[in-house]
Amino acid sequence: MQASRRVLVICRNSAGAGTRAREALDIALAFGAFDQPVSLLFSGDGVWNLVAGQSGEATRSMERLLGALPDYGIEPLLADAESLAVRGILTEQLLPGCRLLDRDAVASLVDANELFFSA
Amino acid sequence: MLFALLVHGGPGGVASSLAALRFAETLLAEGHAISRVFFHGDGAAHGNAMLVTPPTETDLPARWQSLARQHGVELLACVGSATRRGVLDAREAARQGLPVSSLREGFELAGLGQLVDAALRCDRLVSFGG
Repeated sequence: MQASRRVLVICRNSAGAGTRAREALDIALAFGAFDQPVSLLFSGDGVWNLVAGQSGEATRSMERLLGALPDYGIEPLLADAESLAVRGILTEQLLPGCRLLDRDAVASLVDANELFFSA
Repeated sequence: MLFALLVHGGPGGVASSLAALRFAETLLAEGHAISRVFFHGDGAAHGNAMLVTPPTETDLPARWQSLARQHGVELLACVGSATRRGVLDAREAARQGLPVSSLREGFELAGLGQLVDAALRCDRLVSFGG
C-alpha cells in the first residue's frame, strides 16, 4: 500500500435516521485499521450522535462504537460548534472525548486533509 | 490520470448515481483510467441481480456492467452494505443459509479495505452522493 493520505470523514446524519451515520464511521474505522491518519468530524444532524446516554437501538450501538474509536487511533471526536448551537445541544450533554471546532477551525481542518468522505 | 469512484446513492432515480455513471463514461472517453468503483451504503443495491429498471429510466447497473466489460473497471459492492440490502454472492448466501445468490454479474462483494486500497493508489478519488 502506498504512502498515507490524511483522511477527513464527516458524519452528517444521526444514527436514528438510517444507516448513513454508521456507514461514515465504518469508513473512518477502515482507514484507521490500515493505520491511516483519520479525523472524524460530526456536523449537521451528525452531532446528535455525540449526545451521551440516548435510548434507542441504533443510538446505543453508535455510542458503543464511538467509545471504540481511540483503539483505531481516531480521537478526539470533533464536533462542529455551530451545528451543536443550532440544535440547542450543550457541551455537558456530550460524550467524553469531544472537541468543539468553530467555523475557522473547521476550515483549517479541511485544509489540512487530502481525502474526504461524507455520509 | 488514475481515478477511483465511490458511489453512495442507490440505482433508482438518484441524480448523484446517474452523475457517477456519466462521469465514469466521460473519464474513459477522455483517455483516463478507472481502477475501481466502490458502491457503499444504498449504492450497494447497484449489485442487485433482481433489480429491474423501468424502461423510461437509465438502467444504471446494466450501464456499469457494460463499462466493466469494455474497460476492465472493477465494480465492488461493500459486503456489509450489500448483505443488509439483500445482495449476496453464492458464498455469502451459503454462509447465511439462504437459498440463492442475488449478486449481479460483473459485481463483486468486498470489504472496506478495498476502498482504502483504491483511495491510496489512485490519483483522485471522487465520491458521489455522500
